[in-house]
Amino acid sequence: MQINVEFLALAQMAVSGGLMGMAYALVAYGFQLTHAAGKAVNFGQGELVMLGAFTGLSLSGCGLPYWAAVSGAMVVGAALGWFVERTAVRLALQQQNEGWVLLTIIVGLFGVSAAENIWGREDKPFPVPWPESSLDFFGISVTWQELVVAAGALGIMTLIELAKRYTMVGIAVQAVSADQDAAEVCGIRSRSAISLSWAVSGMAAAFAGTIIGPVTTVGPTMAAALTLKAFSVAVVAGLDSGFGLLLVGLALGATENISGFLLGSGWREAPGLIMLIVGLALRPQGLFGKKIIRKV
Amino acid sequence: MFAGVSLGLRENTVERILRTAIFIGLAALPALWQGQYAIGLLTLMAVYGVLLIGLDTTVGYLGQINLAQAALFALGAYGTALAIGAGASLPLALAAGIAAALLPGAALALPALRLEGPQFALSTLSFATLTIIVLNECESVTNGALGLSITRPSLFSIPLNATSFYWLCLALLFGVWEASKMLFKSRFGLAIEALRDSPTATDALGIGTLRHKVLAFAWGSALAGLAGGLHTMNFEYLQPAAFGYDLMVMLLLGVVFGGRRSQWGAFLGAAVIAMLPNLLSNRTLFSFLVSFGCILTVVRPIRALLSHRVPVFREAAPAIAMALAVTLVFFVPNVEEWRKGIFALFLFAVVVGLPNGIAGALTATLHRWIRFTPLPLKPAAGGINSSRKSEGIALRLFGLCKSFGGMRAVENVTLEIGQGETLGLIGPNGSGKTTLVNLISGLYTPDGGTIEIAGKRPASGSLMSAFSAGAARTFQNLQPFFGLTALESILVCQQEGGESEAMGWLLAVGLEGKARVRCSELSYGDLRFLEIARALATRPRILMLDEPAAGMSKPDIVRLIDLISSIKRAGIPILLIEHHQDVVAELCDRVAVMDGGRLIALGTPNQVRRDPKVIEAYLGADNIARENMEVLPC
Amino acid sequence: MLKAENLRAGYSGDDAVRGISIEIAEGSCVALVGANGAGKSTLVKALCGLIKPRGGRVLFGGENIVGLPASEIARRGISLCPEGRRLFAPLTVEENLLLGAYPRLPSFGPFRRAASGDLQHIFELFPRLEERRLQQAGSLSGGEQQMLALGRVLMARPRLMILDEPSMGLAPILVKEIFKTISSLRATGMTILLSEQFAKSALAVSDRAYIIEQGSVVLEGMSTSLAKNPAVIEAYLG
Repeated sequence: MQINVEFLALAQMAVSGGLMGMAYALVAYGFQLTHAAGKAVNFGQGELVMLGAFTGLSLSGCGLPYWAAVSGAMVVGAALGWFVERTAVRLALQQQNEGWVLLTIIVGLFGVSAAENIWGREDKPFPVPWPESSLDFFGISVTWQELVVAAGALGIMTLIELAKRYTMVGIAVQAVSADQDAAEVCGIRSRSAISLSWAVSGMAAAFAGTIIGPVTTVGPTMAAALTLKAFSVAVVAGLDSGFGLLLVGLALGATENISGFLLGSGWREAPGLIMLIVGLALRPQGLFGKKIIRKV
Repeated sequence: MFAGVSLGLRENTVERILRTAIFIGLAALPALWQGQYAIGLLTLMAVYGVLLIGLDTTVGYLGQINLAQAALFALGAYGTALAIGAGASLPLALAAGIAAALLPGAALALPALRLEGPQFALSTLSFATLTIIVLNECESVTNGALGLSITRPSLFSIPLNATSFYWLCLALLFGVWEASKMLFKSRFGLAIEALRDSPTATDALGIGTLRHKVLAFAWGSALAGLAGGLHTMNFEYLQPAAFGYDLMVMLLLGVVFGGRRSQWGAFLGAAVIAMLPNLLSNRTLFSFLVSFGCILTVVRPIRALLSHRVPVFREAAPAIAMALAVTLVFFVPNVEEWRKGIFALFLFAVVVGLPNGIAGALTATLHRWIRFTPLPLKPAAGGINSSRKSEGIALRLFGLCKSFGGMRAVENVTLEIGQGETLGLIGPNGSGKTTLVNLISGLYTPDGGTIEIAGKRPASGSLMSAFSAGAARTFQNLQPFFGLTALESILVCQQEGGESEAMGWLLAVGLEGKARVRCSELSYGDLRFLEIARALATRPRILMLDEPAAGMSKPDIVRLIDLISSIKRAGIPILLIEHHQDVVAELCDRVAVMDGGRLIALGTPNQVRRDPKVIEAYLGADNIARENMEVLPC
Repeated sequence: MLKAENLRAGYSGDDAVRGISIEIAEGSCVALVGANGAGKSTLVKALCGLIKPRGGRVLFGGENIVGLPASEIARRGISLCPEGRRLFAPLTVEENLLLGAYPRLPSFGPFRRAASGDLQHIFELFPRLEERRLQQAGSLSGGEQQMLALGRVLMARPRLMILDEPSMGLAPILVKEIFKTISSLRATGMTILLSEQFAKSALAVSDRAYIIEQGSVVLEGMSTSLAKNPAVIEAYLG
């Protein structure tokens, strides 16, 4: 009987960790979008998540209903994503140097400072319209909050994926990812397509902020660790791998929770990080990524 | 244009004089600027100097964003602290710190340096996060988040007060500076420079990409360990939280701010990041600095407007960022709260406006005003006639196959190149010629078949192994080392011999007059010749030339034919891919023709020219033309 | 229709195109003939805006188009079929074709309906493509890929069609096929600029031709007379 209880506790940990892991997958998906379009990612993506959460919080503080606040946050997130591309990434990529890594970090740093001054340094609760109770599945309890995170992340990713496949703009963005010059000669403005990818990526990040805000509470440092985790998910899955990152996100969330439970909360992140370094060393293109052919 | 004043001095001499003067000034500074606080700050600057010179080896010289330096710094600090706790002397404690950073650093470097760009940045970031977790959680050793306290040991039983410890740090910084400078001026440094431009070429020419990268990273880690040790002794207290992401970002920005690939840059960056937080606390000084910076940044956009053109992003963005910073400083009441944001704006302006940092901008100005005396060149020696004579079959391919996702690029190719033979390889575009060379040189792994170079079978898919067997090549799309001069490009490829021999190779290809010209400033034709010289300098047993005449002018082609015939006379076997028929006809003993990945003909140039299969594949099918003539009105 | 004057262009280092002037009349087929590395592709890329010319002018319909981004030039009616085909390998055959008509299609609306007429036309021309409509472009054979690349260009309803090395890497039988298609397109009155290393076939399908060597035009004239020119026969028709 004792073993059964242990097992149930672990399963509980894995399920709630995995559901939260979907939030990592969502932010990771944002990395994939921008990497596909222009081979760059935002090292300040966590800051966009945080700014999205704050915007959502302020808007619902103004009396807007939850869904309207979330939409508003997504619009602001999209604008910020576009801004990061325009200010920090485009020039550095034109000069073909790694300056964009620094510039995205710097823009993120400014974001944190701005948030500290606009909203204060304290963590704030995020009010939500769903109940605090939980549901029971075969002895494993799942809170409404966890369900919202998982469903929200899955839902928005599915929506973006559908838009990519079934609108002309989406197909054009895919074309730019595949071959920028060839897309240009088809009359596709590749710069706009890249900016659009960044905007969508920023929108996904802001959305992630509004769904995890209620869990983590909202503060300037809420997403400091999130960039690393989401980036781990994206890279381990492969920066061009589509839905492989859902699996990796699930796995990372579950591993974190279980190792926190077994080794102590300070060690939560360690196994994931070791997994990442080893995984990268063995398969640089990611678990689900395609092998790169060097051309000369 | 103003050409600058000639002082009759070498750049190296001027640099050394300047540096010595600054160090003497810094050593004398405690006499003027007294107090515990000032000395602490100066010591911190020296420590950061060592740390940033180390960080610059990866961020600057290797061109990879390294986010692990703060963690390596922490490991060095803890290593030293624990050694002191165990009663070690000062040199021993520093050695312990270096080892504590070097070993994990090297262990990280091996897997991480196979990666590029964001993947490398991420693996170093993970390492850094992991390190902080371990330092926090291994409480029995590190005392966890509470931190460790130590007392600074004495040096050979001389007690060190704050000032003498500062002098020690300064002396070590000077030593590290000199050592780094020598390291990056040596062949090792040239190799690092070269592999950043073309890792494919450095592997194909036997320079060894990964080995150099790992060693450079290890050097950077060792310096992080040394700096960590000094840091421990300076503060006499350690806490894991101090070595987190914030410090890392600060260090990275310090290197970029000061200027990458320069010890001066690292030093200036260190001065800035050590002093800046303290400068920021003085509001008047701070407002002055920000306003001054703003004035500097508006110069360029105004100049653009004056010449009636809209300033581009790179000119306008720094000014906008600084203007925003000025607004914050003068109009926001709680400016201290915004310090991080203003710092970010400042950095943004520098990274966008001064891509080469302060040191880069200063060097450029110096070169504008002063003309330095160049180093004298050594007389040429060696050259083509000193080449290795080949014996036996130079290259033997049997049943070689390679396909890319269903497309058969090379199919069942069997071929031999004999002693001293020149074999031409021709065929229409996309027929698989370059893929064949890529297979032989080890860039691609064959799907089937064998390769034998001068009697040896290299490991498949390894550039280095093919090189060791004696293969050397040039590239159809040039792979020059843009950061190096022509002479340095040869030096880095030579396994033996020095500058005289390198000059010999340049003389052989007619580039002796451009020895000190950077590859980025050489013409396309010159670069093609330089690639041949590079390959020759490795003393190959088989030389593969991939379309050497492509894009060359008529007189250059004549020179090229002369050069290849003299290589031929020296007895080096050559595999020559070429489209210019006159080049092929004049130089080749035999010609192989490829089409659709297969070898369709092999024989003397005259035999091949008459082969109907070749005429159809290579020169365009006759009957197509005739058929179309019927369709067309003309 | 298109007129390039003293155009210079190149990548790093020397100019690969050293002051070339060419002219293409409406409804004509003009060939650029020259060996590999002569500068044909660089010239074509400069015309389309894929690389920025270092000097000279390109007039298209009377307007200077130098300095415009490639997408803008494409929208004005110059459509390039690039060297090596450059299809969007992960996308389907149909999506590749639709992208050819991108500027004309609604961004979010029912784009398939808007393009159905054009698609039908392409499928009549290349029935093989209809069979493989939903296959990934990267999985097609070389000949099918070239047809798709031509189809993608035709979808744009171009005013000027530029074909850069359409025969590259194809088996002789397929090369024949491609040239047949080009001559039938020409018969419909399409304006075509053809850059080709197979001199004989190129001269056979074109009205006028420019012989290019080392970044300059060394000979120009009617294709029929060039095909009889002893210098051309010596150098290219061996």
